[in-house]
Amino acid sequence: MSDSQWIDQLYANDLLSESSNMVQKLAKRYNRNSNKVPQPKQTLKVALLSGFTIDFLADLLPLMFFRHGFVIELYKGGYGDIVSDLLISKSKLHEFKPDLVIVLPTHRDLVFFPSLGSTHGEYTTALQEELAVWQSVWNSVSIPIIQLSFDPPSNRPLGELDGYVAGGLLDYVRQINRLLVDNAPTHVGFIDAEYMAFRVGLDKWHDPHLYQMSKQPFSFDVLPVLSHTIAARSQGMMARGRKVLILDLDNTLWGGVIGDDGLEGIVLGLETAEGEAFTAFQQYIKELANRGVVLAVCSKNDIDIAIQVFHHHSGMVLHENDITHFEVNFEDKVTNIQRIAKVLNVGLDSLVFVDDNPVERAWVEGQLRDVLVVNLPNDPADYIMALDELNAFCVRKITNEDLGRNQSYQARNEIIKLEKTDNAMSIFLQNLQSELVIEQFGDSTLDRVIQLLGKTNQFNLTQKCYSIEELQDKSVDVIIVRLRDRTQDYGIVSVVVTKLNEEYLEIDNWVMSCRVFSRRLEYAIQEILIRKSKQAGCQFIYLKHQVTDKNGLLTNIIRDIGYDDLGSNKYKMDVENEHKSIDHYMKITTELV
Amino acid sequence: MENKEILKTLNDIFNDIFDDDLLILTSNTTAEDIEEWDSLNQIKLIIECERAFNIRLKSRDINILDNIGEMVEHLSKVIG
Repeated sequence: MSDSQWIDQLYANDLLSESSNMVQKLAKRYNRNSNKVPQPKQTLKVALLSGFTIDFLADLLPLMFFRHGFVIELYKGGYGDIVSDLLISKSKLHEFKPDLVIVLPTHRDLVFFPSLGSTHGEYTTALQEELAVWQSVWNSVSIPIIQLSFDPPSNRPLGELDGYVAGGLLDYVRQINRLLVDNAPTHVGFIDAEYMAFRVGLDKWHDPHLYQMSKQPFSFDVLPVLSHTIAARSQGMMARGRKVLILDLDNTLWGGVIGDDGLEGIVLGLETAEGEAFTAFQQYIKELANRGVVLAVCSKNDIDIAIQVFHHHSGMVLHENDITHFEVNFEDKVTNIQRIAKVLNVGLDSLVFVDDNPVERAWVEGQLRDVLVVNLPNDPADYIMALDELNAFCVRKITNEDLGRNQSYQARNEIIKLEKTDNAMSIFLQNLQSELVIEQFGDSTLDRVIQLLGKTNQFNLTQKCYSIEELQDKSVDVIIVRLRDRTQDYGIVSVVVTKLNEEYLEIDNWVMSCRVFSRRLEYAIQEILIRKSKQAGCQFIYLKHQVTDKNGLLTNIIRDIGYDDLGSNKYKMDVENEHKSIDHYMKITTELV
Repeated sequence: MENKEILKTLNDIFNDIFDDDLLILTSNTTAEDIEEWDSLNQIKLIIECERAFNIRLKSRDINILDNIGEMVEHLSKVIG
């Protein structure tokens, strides 16, 4: 492979369909020559702990993390040392100070497996003791842990009963996995080993020959998908999963070309075999939308003709209002995708692009490397799996905000239309009857607060992320803001982390979801900050704007809400002064626990 | 399969694993001559030979071989 060839391969969207050998080779190239490749800005210290030989897997991780937007520094735990490495506070692991711990046990690491003929009581005790070991491991750190659930064994001494009776190892694996997931604290996320093993096939998952030689329990063929999944899950745990799915129309959502074939001519719906495949694909996309993935359309078509399919075709599962934004025109797709990113206020690294046309895909892939381009196979029946196996939309947890996401983007599109006239805007905002609710910091809000601080790009003052402990520290006051209006509850949309000093209040970070931009929410929050500052007897509020290529919009906002520019991106407000402020039309309330 | 053919296939496997197309094996080549030939790559070598020649090997048998010449002989015997 020449330099340009292997560098292109690093970004290839079909890497997972390559042989394990090829992926291992590419990973080694990357490990030796990462200086030849533009490196992601986000760095991550990752500790890898396992009961088996992890060297081959570890070789692949830098490449897979690179593909998910991270440069990693890797710590490899000693063979068979998962528990002690974490529990001993002075271990090398803790000296390393990881940002993320990956824990890979196998069913061989189960300690309390009850023998055949155990009573119900003994069986339950065994499960509880197993759980207790892991609880102590989880509680030893507060940084994110990604854990492989226990994998199914290769053989079943109890035959068909093995998976269902006490004393069957497969049964025990199933039970303990469920118990662990149900009891895991919020900083622990799982990779589903049972699913992965049946996805690759149990014969491939287990490799007794290789295990006997090297103590690696699964075949080399498992390495690419396992390392990919670890990186995808990590991206989700760090709240950096992708958020937007951009769809082509002709031959992607339906068969045929609407402009040529017409409403009657396109293939879609349960009446034909091929039409059913497109319907199933739409169904899958709808499920993604239901869990918070934002949908947009980018198609070379006449919008008036294309929209007819949404309005009148009985085979359509997706409706016009499932799509947050349409770019349907004959312009270049790169331009259109950039426009979609702008309208939705997200970075290109939040986007996934689906198009049946290989030429369009190659063009977008070459021009916009941050966009994940799905390598759609020829047969529409295979579309779903091509998208599904990428695991592109990983999240730490599905939050209530995820469930209402598509609706709120639609409200925002309405606002963008209205913004053109100031007066109309005021009337519109007034009609919304918005209510800003200050939430309490606690278990129910923790996940969302961390998600918001981690994944906000534009309205993100300092890029600072926090551990749970840092947020709970006494010197820190976290203001958590929920927004609701006549139409819906947007959930928690803004977080301000403040530090109180003797004479002034300092804003350590402030993030706001782009779904609620242009609602004048920042004015209402500033009002809260002023109030807090006065209550504490502080005359000044200070903040520093850590400028990145994504948060430039804050420069104007900070001035608009009344701060004085001190130079070098520092700002100050004297809360005793009168501030000209525009009406935000928001009712401010505090949620009491 | 003739020893010459075995050596050629073996050479391809080495080129692949060590990501070095300039690597040329002779009967006298030993692990000392190839810098990255460690215990992990040894395992990869065994697995790749098994795949390429469609055989099963025992790591015990491979680990006592002194050079590539002996390895070719051993493979030839297992292939039969």
